[in-house]
Amino acid sequence: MPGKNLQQAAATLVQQLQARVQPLRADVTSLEVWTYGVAASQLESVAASEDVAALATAGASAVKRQGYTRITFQCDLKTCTEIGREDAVDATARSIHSASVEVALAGRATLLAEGRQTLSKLR
Amino acid sequence: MPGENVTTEKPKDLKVSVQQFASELAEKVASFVTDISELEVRTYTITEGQFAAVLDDPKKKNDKVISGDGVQLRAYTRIAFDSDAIVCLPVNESGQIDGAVWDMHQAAVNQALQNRATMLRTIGDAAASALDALKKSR
Repeated sequence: MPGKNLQQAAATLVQQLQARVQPLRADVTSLEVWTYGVAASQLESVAASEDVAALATAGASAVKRQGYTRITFQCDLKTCTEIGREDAVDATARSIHSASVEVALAGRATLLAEGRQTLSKLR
Repeated sequence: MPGENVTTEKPKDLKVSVQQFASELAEKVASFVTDISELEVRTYTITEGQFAAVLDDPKKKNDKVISGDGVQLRAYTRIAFDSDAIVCLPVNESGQIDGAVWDMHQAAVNQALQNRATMLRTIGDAAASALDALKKSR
């Protein structure tokens, strides 16, 4: 029955999108950015690794953590306010790491705005 | 009468088309929700003269990773759906981060983030339209 298939497809579509966007609300209370310096010959294999942090903490000489920032937020339904920030950044990586943090913050804000709008459209 | 065929067949065709569209859209959304979970940006340099040989290989058109003679990964960024980010850059011989291609990589990361947000909006709009159509069809 075409009508039934159409309803099923539309319902599946909406459920899938809600399932992906809904957890955003739980994940938005902190943001972490890591910058790693990697031996050039190892960059490909490090990029393919599921857990880059584990490589660095395991003491792999090819991977060195050169920047880390964790920002925490207080969020309500409409806004998020930064309430804390901790940094550990090598001086040589500071400008690159700071730029990455700014990009991640901007990307997060955009995604949150789009996520909120998407959820409100699907209600 | 020819006119009768037109008036009875067109709505049926439209219904089938809409059903097909919704089914295809549901499939796209399924792959989209998986794809947006993690965003990866890789910036490569390719030795002059090797560009066409590396990029025009039809067998490698859909590969996520580029490989071949003269290809070198120069920067890598991984961004989770909640925006947590990992940035990997090569270090030079003196142990300092080599940021030679950094600006270009950063621009690519920005573009990828914007594209992800735009895709989310587009799929959201499509899903909302489907939801609306679903309500009207009841």
